[in-house]
Amino acid sequence: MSDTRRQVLECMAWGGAAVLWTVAGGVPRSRLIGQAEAAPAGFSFIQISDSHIGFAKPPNTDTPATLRAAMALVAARKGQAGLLVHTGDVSHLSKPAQFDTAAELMRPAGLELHAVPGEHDVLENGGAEFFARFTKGAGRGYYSFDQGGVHFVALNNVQDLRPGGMGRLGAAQLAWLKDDLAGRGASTPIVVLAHVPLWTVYAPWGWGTDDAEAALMLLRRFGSVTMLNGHIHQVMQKVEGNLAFHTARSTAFPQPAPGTAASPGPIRDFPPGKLGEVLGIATVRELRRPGMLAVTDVALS
Amino acid sequence: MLAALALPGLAPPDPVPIRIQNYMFGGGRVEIAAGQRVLWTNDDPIVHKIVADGAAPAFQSPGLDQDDSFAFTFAQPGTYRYHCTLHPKMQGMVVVRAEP
Repeated sequence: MSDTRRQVLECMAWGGAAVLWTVAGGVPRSRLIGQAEAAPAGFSFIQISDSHIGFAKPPNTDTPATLRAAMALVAARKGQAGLLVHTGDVSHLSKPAQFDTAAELMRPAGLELHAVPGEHDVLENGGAEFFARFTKGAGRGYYSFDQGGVHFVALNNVQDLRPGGMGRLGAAQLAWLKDDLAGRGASTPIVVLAHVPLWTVYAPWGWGTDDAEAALMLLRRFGSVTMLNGHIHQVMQKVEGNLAFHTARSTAFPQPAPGTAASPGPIRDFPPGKLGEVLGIATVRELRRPGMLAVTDVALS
Repeated sequence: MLAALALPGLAPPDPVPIRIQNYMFGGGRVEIAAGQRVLWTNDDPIVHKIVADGAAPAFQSPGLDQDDSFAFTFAQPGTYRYHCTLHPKMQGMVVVRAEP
């Protein structure tokens, strides 16, 4: 396989010195950088996740304020970004007012918004309130679209769950995915959006998707597949052949690293002024070489 | 296991409490008598939603934020397994015995 068909994923994190991560063909490299690099030409978009509007406890009693701060960061860094994606848990309790607040806060970015549901978005009425606002009429929460030469696939892995299990796509959605991908050229860059990670980050906490492998089987023939997830409120990444997995920070509150606490949290005890360092957004851009995407994570402070 | 069977001369607690802490249902398996109520209270700073297993759940709570409670009266004897719809690794069981 040529270099141009390999997946490249970069991740920068600001927390004191910035670190640029580059993962090419499964080999990670890192280097310190002083400032954000100038955005190169090419299609780009921005990911936010887990805004949890309605959550109002330590460590964050004002989640609208941190979403507003995230959107200010989006405005400052959007450049030529083509769209904004939200990888779920827009709300905390699926209340219409929470959805409306989130929509209102995201609107000033002036970017077309695409979202997938998190488990907190589908607590009432089978997720109808969420789907009506955020999934462009896709009443089951999964859909696809094309932009900037990239085929986007938005999946719902939070509603067909089984007792004792993790996230789940379900047979109907997998059949739809098979049809959606059929006939597409293997050189088409694919971006998959789903709330729960599509690889098993930590099974005891349910941080994975039970039937993800069935989806990955359908995706492996493509030269560049980038999976963007949320749910675990921290940046994690993995590269497996041409499949790159990336989870985003929350704009609301952090959760502990897998297995490092009695439960998934949230982490509640942060020194004053430190919360912004663990919240943030991600920008994704297509590199000059075809088929390559770069993901850049940015903390709120 | 939390046992709440009626004992002679000792009225059973009603409702039977189950605390939700650290993404676990306290007691795991709870045994009660038919007609008793169970009261779940969420102590976690994250939402949980309780639903009985199966295609036609016998009971289902709304989303429970921290300190919210949900009660259900078990009229019929049987074994009721349930889980959290947000965190399906969380599982519990209520065993309802016929009244003595």
